[in-house]
Amino acid sequence: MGRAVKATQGYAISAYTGACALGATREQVLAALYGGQSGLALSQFAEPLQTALGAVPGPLPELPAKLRSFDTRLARLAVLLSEPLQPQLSAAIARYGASRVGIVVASSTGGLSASEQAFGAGTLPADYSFERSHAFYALVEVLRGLTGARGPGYVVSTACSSANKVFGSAQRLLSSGVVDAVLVGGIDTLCQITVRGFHSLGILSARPCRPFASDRDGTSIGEGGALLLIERAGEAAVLLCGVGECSDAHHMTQPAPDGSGAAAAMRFALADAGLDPSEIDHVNAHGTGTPLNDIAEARAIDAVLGRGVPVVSTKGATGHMLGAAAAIEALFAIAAIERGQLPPSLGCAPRDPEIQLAISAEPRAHACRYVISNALAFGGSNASVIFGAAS
Amino acid sequence: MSASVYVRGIGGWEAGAAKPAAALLPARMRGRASPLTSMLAEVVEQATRAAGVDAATLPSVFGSAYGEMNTTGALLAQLWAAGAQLSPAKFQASVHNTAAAQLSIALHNSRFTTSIAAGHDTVAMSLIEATCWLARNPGQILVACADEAPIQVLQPGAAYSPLAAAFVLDNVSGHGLARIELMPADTCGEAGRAENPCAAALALVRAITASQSTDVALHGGWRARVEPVAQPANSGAHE
Repeated sequence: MGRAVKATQGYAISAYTGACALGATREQVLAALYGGQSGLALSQFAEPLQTALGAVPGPLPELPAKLRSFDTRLARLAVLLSEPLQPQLSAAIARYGASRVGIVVASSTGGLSASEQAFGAGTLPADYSFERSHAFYALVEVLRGLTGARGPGYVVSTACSSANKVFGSAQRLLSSGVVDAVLVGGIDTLCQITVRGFHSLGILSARPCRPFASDRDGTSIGEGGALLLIERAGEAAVLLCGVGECSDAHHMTQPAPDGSGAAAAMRFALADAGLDPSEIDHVNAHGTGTPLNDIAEARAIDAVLGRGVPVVSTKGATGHMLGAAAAIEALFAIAAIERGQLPPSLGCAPRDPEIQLAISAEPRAHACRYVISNALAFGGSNASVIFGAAS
Repeated sequence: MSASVYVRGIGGWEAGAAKPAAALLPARMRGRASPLTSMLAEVVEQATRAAGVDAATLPSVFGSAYGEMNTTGALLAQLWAAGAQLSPAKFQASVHNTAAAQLSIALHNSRFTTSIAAGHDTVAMSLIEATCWLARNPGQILVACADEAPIQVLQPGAAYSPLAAAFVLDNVSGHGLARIELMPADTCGEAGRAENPCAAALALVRAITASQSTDVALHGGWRARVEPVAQPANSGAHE
């Protein structure tokens, strides 16, 4: 007996874009991702450390004159990412009013790279301002100045889960009636402290990271981000269907070995979306390439969704974009739904024999109605988001 | 937005008060805790004790404009010292969600928690995030906001004092110390740069303690209307 197909429930994702080591536009990023390219390259950035990093290519656009005092790499990425969304943002502001369009964006680094350079100069440069160069809120102020949105604005910063948690905030703001649209996403830049900090913890690979591979030995750091416009209603191919957020309550930097925290986040997201595990067609895994993360997350996916669902980690292509990782991965989840094709999981072969999941180093044709994207962070912060085809 | 919630417990700490006891953290964690994490652990303990609830059972929103700046300052110094070797303990404790994470680990609390930043609007945005959480998940939630004293290497000339405040909010019980309602403010109320970015949280604690109807400016175009709640003669009977 066939089950009646229920309509997809969720908020409209009416526009989105991203930039990372794979490219500076959505088209470049997706063409490179599906073409099997990696944006990771060996770098002298944090010498004498040898590691592979994923830097956003090319010169970044300058800030408009009125925002020049906010000039940082983070702010320039905000210019790069907000420009393609401006037509839909302006339409949303015209439809709902500027104060009904919120901004909730993720970042773990904020303007830390600007402070690294300013501190190293000995005396703070004249153009350095703690509030405009370093503080998280500068990102919201820049996005307000660029887009005209004037609704509630804040940065979510829970390390590497940040950019999935902004979807939870957006859902809450929309369902409570505080706003009618929210600009969400996340942006991080390469910093000395993050690269060297991951090295100090013994979880930075000297080569491009190899999520799920038997010889994986750490992650690689990337930069960039993505922005998405979420509206109460409207034309969209893909909807935000569910969010699950919880904590491991286990350890500052290691996941619960059985993956129980990641599993709980996925189950909360399924319950929030009103879906059965069998309805999930694809997983964009957190998949950092560290020995402990990948095995714990694989156990969680196995426990919640089983071994048949196709799993991809895109970090072998982008690097781990930390506070912005889940933002670019939301873009990849949406692309999988729109294209009916999964990106390759670069570097996954030879696969860890303990990880019995459907992972492939090749792109695969695969129709997706619902995709879940995981983000797992320092402090055991877990967040899973489910995206669904509107029709 | 005019969501109205009850405040079941409050906690506050400011410079000049006794060193934060941070009793919710185990001794080993407490000894290493940053000023920010210590202050937050202290006010969370105060607020949950006052509310008569177990901190291990509550979802939470943590707000801080600038986060773990003492720890970040130490990492900047290590970065520019010979060898540029960073302390892994400092690095992992530099994330904005350090206090939330350490409390979740110490209390074995796996419930929802988030950590946000919004400059001088941090208190307003933390309360909005929390009240919107309650609207979808009726019950109680903890909100804790704090900022450390400025670090002179990046904030020369800034001279505000550290402070922290916490609230146990409730949207089902119908009683508490006060009822608060978040409302748009007519004026934006430009925050003084000489003020701790989370100063509004302590102002809200004081307004609730004073048991008078009043408005507290939260910045960012928001204010909190505080209405004291008449305490029943035998409040225990109403639990």
